[in-house]
Amino acid sequence: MNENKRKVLVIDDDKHISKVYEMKFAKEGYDVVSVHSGEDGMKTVAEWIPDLIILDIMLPDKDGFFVLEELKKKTEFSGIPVLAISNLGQNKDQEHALALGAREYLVKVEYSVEEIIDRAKKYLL
Amino acid sequence: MKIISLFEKLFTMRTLVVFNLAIILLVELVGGGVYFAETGLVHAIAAIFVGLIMIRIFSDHASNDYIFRGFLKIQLLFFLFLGMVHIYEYLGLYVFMLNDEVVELSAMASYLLWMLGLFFALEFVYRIYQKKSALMSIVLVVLISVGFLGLVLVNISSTFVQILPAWLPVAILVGTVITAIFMIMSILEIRGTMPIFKEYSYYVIPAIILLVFAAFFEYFESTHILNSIGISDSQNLYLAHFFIYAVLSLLFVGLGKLKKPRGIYTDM
Repeated sequence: MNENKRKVLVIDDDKHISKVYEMKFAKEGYDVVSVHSGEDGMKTVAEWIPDLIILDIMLPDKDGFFVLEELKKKTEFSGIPVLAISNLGQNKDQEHALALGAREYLVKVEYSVEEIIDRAKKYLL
Repeated sequence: MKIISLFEKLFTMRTLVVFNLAIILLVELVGGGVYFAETGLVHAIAAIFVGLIMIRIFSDHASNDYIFRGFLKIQLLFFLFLGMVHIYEYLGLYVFMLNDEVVELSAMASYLLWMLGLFFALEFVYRIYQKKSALMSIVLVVLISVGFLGLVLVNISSTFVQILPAWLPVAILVGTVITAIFMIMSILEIRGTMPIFKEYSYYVIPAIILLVFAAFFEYFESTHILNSIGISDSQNLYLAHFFIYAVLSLLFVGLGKLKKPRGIYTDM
């Protein structure tokens, strides 16, 4: 891992999607790590301290809302921008995620990986 | 992989409509319009459609989400069951010469069990995503288990067949209609919650409605009620199966929409 590169943490249980994020973020010059559960996500945040988190809301153990709550509780991590990504498309889910501190809430079938990376770049300047 | 991609290109909604029309013409014209009924090939065609769907479910999907995988596995299991039902119908009626009424009743009940299975798959997704209680899933598992047990008993015990109430076919038909209504409500809720299911729902809802028509014709077949208006048993059998082919074609295309959804999944 390069110390100068901006760090992106991807928390998504879908290994195909994680792989695509990894490839595309790396191509854009970011240092990227992906994990597949909320629990591992929290551990990686504490150890690696990323500059941005791409967070899937539906995860097998601790879900994305839990991760957002945990990040919000810990002042040292509460400033890390989080893009919440989900298959849940209802307003209440979006409002919930934003209330818990996510910067944006993006529905998976409405945005391509490129569009998500473009949005992520705003928080990595 | 090349075969799968050729398969995906070949079986589109348009080609499936053409296939369905060609099958109808073939079935109605070959052998004076009774050949496919007399030989049981009408069931073999349904089994082929089921096979196509199973290949589609088996092949790679853009989403590797654990909930989505579970949904597909449950669907696969029940499509396998449906394929076996058609093979059973063929073997029962044309090879082992089982009691017609038992086979027809079993087929009707099997369609209902299959619908309950698909409903269970939808509930599996919806329950996890919406953190809903497992009550409906439990009810479905109980109904499927009881139905399956009944199906086995009907086919292995002649004593059990004799004690079956006369209203059972009507009860199965009513059960099919009620299940269809619940399924449509469930799909509407799911697509409102999860946009990934939106396009899938455009095919699945008409499929469920057509399945109810198929169930009615299965019922008419078991009661020979349409004979009184000049529709023969073989025509009745064909009508039920034409609806089934249409149902399976729609489900095939619908599952294809889940295989490659839009957005983030276009990069997979």
